Amino acid sequence: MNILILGCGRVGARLAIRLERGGHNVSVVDELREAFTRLGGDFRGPTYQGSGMDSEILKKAGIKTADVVVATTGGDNRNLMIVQIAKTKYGRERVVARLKDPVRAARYREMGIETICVTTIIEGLLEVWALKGEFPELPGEASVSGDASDLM
Amino acid sequence: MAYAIIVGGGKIGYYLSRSLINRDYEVCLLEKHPSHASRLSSELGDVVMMGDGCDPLTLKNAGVQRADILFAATGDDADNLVIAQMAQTCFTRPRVIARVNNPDNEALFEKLGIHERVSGTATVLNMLGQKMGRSPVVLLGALEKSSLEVIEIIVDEESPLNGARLGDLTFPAQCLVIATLRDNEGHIPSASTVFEPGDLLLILVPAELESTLREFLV
Repeated sequence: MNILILGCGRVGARLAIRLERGGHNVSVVDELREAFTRLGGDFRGPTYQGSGMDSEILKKAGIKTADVVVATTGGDNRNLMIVQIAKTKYGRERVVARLKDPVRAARYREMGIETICVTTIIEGLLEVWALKGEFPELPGEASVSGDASDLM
Repeated sequence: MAYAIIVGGGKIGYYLSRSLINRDYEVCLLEKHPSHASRLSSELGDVVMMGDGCDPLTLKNAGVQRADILFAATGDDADNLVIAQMAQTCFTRPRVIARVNNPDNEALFEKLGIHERVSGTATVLNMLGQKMGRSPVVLLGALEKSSLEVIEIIVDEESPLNGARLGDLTFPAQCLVIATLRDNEGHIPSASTVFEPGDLLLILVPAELESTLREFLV
């Protein structure tokens, strides 16, 4: 699949590496060139410096042929704007915004925008841990199995 | 007394609050950065509230349910988009207006249901363009909730309008010259009006014909 990741922080960079290892074409956009160092030496996909809300950058980074768009910059509102650009302007369907704020995450999901909220997830996991003393198996850890450490 | 909530205490939010207060509006200016909020409240007093305008609870505490207008006035288009969308989907009461900083985002905001917008940059660019002589045609504004716009044009020597009689001109369909200004005096034109260099014309035009009209005029 063609995957476009906006925001090359810890989450964006690790996701990019993971998906590329899975055999997908991954391109990454970030406003700061230094952010791409998080991708490490083995990442082969193209990187683009610029704003994920800028149409020129999005086009260069291949939004028109992207099967999946993931908005994972540090700003909730930026991520929400990026996914709405991807959906309404470029007709992308498999599009998700990573958010910190559970209220916005719930509201936009009701509006038909796919969101994933880190706060809600961690809060839920900690609740399970508090009650049972152990974490359930996480999809991220399972899929990298032994090589999670070399994603660092 | 009308009640306006302004989100974002930058230059626009600050001066707008001040002028609305002077015009006897009840105002709440929301600013999310604590230090900036306290600086603003030392000048404007109780109207300033510290909080994030994207948060429905904050808006509720600011009295959004009895507000007449909510203006998303920050310098960041992503913030203004989300503030406006959250306000529109969580509350029915206030009229929501968003500031658009990057003119390229106008169409996106429209598609996403933010129908009332103010674009400072677009207006300034437009007027600057005219002052620098590049574009003699200026968009003055759109009539609310319609697809009609009012544009302004100044007739110059090379203009196809120079020396022409209004009755002889074939404007694109539905375009209407509503006023002319010559030597600082306004007139309502008739078919016999003949245009001269320096005349300023106000023209009503359906938005989708604006570019056709521009081509016709220059």
